[in-house]
Amino acid sequence: MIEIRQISKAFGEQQVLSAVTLTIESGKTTAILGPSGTGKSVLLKIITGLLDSDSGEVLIDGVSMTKASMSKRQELRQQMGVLFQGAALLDSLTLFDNVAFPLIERGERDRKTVIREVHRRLDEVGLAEYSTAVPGEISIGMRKRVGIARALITNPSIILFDEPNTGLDPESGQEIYDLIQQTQKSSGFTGIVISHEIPEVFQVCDRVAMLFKGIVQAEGPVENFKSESHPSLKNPIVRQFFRGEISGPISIG
Amino acid sequence: MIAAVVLLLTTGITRLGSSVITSVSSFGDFWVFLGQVFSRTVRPPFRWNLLLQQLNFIGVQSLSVVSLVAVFTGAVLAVQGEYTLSKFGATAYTGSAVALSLIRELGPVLTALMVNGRAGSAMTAELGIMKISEQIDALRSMAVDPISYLMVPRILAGVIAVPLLTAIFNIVGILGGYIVGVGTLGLSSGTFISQIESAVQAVDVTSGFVKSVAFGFSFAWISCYKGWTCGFGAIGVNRATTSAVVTSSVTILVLDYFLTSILTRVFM
Repeated sequence: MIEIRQISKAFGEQQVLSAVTLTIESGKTTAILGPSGTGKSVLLKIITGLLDSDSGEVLIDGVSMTKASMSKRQELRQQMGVLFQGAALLDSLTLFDNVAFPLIERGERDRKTVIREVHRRLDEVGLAEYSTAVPGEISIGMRKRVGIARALITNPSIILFDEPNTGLDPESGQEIYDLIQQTQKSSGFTGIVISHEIPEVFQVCDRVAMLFKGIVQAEGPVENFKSESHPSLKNPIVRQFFRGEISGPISIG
Repeated sequence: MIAAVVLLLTTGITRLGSSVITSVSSFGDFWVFLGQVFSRTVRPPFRWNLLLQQLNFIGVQSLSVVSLVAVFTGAVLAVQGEYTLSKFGATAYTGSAVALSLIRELGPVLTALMVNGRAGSAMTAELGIMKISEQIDALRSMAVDPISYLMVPRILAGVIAVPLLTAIFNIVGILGGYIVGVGTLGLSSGTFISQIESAVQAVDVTSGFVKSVAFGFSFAWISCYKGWTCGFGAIGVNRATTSAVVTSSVTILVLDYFLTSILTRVFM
C-alpha cells in the first residue's frame, strides 16, 4: 500500500501540491487524473523519491520514501517500475539491453536467464523482432511498449505510468492501455496511472483521484465517476473535468 | 521621482543579490558534485566496461584529430624555431626547441583543448539530453546511481586518456618538426635528434604529464557538471554545451599558467 500524507511542493512562488493525501491500495490500479499542469507528474516523482517534497510523507508498505536515506530509497525503488512520459529508454543501448538493464543491475548474472526473460517481456509487448534496434529507430508508441517491458522485467510490486498514451494516436494509445490491463491481471502489481485522458483511463483503473491546483478534489472507485449522480460530481471542478464541459472553474491559462 | 529612484535601486540590489546567491550556490554545487564523484569512484560497483567505452570515445576516437594537429604544430615550431634561432646562429638547437616546447607546454595544452572541443562538448550534450529526456530519472528509478553510472567513467577516462594522447601528440609533433626541419629546412638529422636527447630531461616530461592529468580531469569534470545541471529544452542543452566548452578551455589555459609557475619552481 502507498500512503501519501499531506504532501506539499512549491517551485519558487508556485505552489504545485498542497497537502495532498491519498491512499493507493495494493494490487489495484489507481488513476491520478487532472488537467495539464496540476502537479500529477510532480506527485509521481515524489512517490518514487526522484523529487523531495517540502512537507508531508510518502509511505511504501509502511516505509517512508520521503524520509529515507539515499541507500534506503534505492532499496525501495527496487520494488518499483516506472513508465516515463517519453519512455526514457537509454539512447545508447539496444531495446534488448534496455529491457535487460534493470535485471542485470539487480545482480542477475546468468546470461541464459537474462535472454529468456527479456525475450519473454519483449514478446509480451509485441516487439521481440526489434530487440537489436536502438530507441531512435522506433516510434514513440513502440518505445512506450519497450518502457512497459522494462518496467515489468523485475516483477515489481508497484508500477507507475506517467501519461502512458500521451503523443500516441488513439489506436496505439488503446494498445498501451490494453497492455497495462493485461499485465496488471497477470502480475497483480499495484498500479498508478497519471493521465488526463477520460474515459480511456477508466478501462485500466479500479480507483480514481482527481487533482486540480495541487489539491485532491475527489477520490473513489471508478464507478463513482462513471455515474451521472454520484455526490463527487457535485463539485463543479470534478463535474467539468469528467463531463468534459468547456465552461466552468477549470480554465486554460 | 524619489519613489522611482528607490524602486530602481531596490530592483538593482535585489537582482545583484539574487545573481550573487545563484553564483555562490552554483559554485558550491560544483564542488558537491565533485565530492559525489569521488565518493562513487572509490566504492563499488566499478563499471570497467563503461570506463573502456569512454576511453574509446575520449581517447581512441580523438587520436586522428590530435595527431593531425600535432604534426602541423611540430612543423610550425620547426619553421619558427629555425627562423628565430638563425638570428643567433643557433639553428642546431631547433630540435631541442621543438621538443621542449611540445613536451613542456604545447603538447598538454593543445591536446586538452582538442579533446575538450571534440569529446567535452559531446559529453555535455549527451548528458544534457539524457537529463531533459528523463533518462537520468529513469536510471534513478531503476535504483541505479547516475553519478556512478554516467559521471565516474567519463571523468576517469578523461584523466587517463588525456595524458596518453599528450604523449602521442608529443611524439607525432616531434616527428612533424623533424620532417620539416630535416626534410625542407636542411637541418642535420643527427644534430636534430642529439639536441633533443641532450635537452629533454625527465622533469620536462614529468611537468607535461602532471599538466595533462590536471587538464584531463578539469575538462571532464566541467563537461559532466554542465551536462548534469543542464536547463530545459534544446536551448538548455545549447547553453550547457557552449558554457562547458568555454569554461573548460579558459580553465585549461588559466590552470596552465599556475601549474607552469608551480612546477617550474618545484623542479628547478
